[in-house]
Amino acid sequence: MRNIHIKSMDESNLLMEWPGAISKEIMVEIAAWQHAIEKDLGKIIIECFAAYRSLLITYDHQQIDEENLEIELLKLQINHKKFRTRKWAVPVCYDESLAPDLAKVCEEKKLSKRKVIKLHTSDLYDIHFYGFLPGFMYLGGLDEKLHHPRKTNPDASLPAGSVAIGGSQTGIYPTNSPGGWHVIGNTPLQLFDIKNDPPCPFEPGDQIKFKSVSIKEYNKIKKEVESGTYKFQKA
Amino acid sequence: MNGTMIFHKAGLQSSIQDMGRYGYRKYGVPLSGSMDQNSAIRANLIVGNQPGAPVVEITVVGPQIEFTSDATIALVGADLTPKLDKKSIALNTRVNVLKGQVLEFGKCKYGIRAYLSIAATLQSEKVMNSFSQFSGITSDHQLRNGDQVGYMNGKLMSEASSAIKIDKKYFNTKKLEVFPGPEFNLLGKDQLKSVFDQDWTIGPNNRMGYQLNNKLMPGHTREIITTQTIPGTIQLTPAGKLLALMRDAQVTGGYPRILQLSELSINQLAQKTERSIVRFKIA
Repeated sequence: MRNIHIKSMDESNLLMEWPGAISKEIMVEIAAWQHAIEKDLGKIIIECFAAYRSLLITYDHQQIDEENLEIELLKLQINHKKFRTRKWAVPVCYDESLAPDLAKVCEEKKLSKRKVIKLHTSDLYDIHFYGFLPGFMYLGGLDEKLHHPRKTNPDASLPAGSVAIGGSQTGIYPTNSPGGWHVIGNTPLQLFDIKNDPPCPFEPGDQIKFKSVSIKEYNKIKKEVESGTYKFQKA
Repeated sequence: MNGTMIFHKAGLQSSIQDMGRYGYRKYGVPLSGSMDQNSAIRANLIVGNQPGAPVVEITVVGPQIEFTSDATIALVGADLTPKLDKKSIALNTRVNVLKGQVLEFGKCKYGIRAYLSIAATLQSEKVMNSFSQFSGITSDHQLRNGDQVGYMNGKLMSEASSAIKIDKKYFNTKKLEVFPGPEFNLLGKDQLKSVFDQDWTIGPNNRMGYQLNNKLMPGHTREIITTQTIPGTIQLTPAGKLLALMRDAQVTGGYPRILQLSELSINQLAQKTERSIVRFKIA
């Protein structure tokens, strides 16, 4: 706990903050803490959720006060080096019919389409947390060669599954939504579904890898997703 | 008795709300819930419901609701001049509604959000353990003209001595209690003075947040790494405006969180609208 700062937000919210830059190590450490808190303190906390370098704990102040909650946190055994996260494959079709901004990104970055796809699919991306929209993953690890300023005029509506680049980030719009990022592909996966509990297939702390698929494969997977027979694939 | 509330007119923005959707913020799902939870809880207690039971949140312009069977209701919060079959009814007490009667509203006298509870079990869509309507989670984020909301086991209760006393100060107070936010220390001397020694005027607002303006507040260029926000978090925008996040706000944000409203102050702010004046006081 020596590096973690604890701050009180209000009568029932406690914030744990980690110093330093955004990193995979901190992400995994936070995921390990979250897991331990949910498992061991489930009776006194209402929920907790992560951001890049912090974990917010909402607790029931009628059951425990801030001071005693901090003592309970100190007692937790966290072994983040042994904490296991999963790696998932996310199919993406980069066909121009599903990638309205790909040609322009290639032109502006002076990269071939093949090179952009190669760069985008070669790394594992860290799922730091969900925010902005239900089911929207904050992903870390985009290759610097693909960093690209956001659009000055956001699009009024991007279709669900849009895979996009904005600034130093890449992400997937889980539902139809306005957006200011450049859409370079689309995934047939449904990444937020209120009928499932949990509604998202991947957990914060997991990693994903994009896998380029043809439009034919895209349509095949989409059918499986719609009929409920699709199984999420490990990377 | 089982019945239905028929919303012949939905009003400006009416929705079903409870205490919020806990447990799903780690997937990016906002909390939602009644904007003024204090009033929603009181409305429920008057008719003998659990404090967190779903209620109808009514905003500024009320709906026109027909009840198809007898039930006791209560209205707590803003005074939107409620009438039952054209006759004025009291706030903050039990009111017996008979089959076929129509509840309507008139002028908004004080506050902006009223809470309608019913001594019955509301039959509304429950998603992820909550009845609170929210875009993309429930099928709509508000009630529409013609919507029907069922209720089961509606009962009539004695109207006698059920009134609760409400202090008007709850609606009129300028003073909002705050705690220092996680980035409070980013405030310089001039900014501190502007935050605490000057009036703030409420600007555009909705269930996601309230913008607060003060011409003297200097701007800043401090962005922070995206981090958690909760209802009542007050962010300082680069233009020197404040943004008080409310029940439907996103779960994370990137502006410095300089203040945090107390739970009471969130509820009180939820009863205010554009051009009202507020002042901050450290709790």
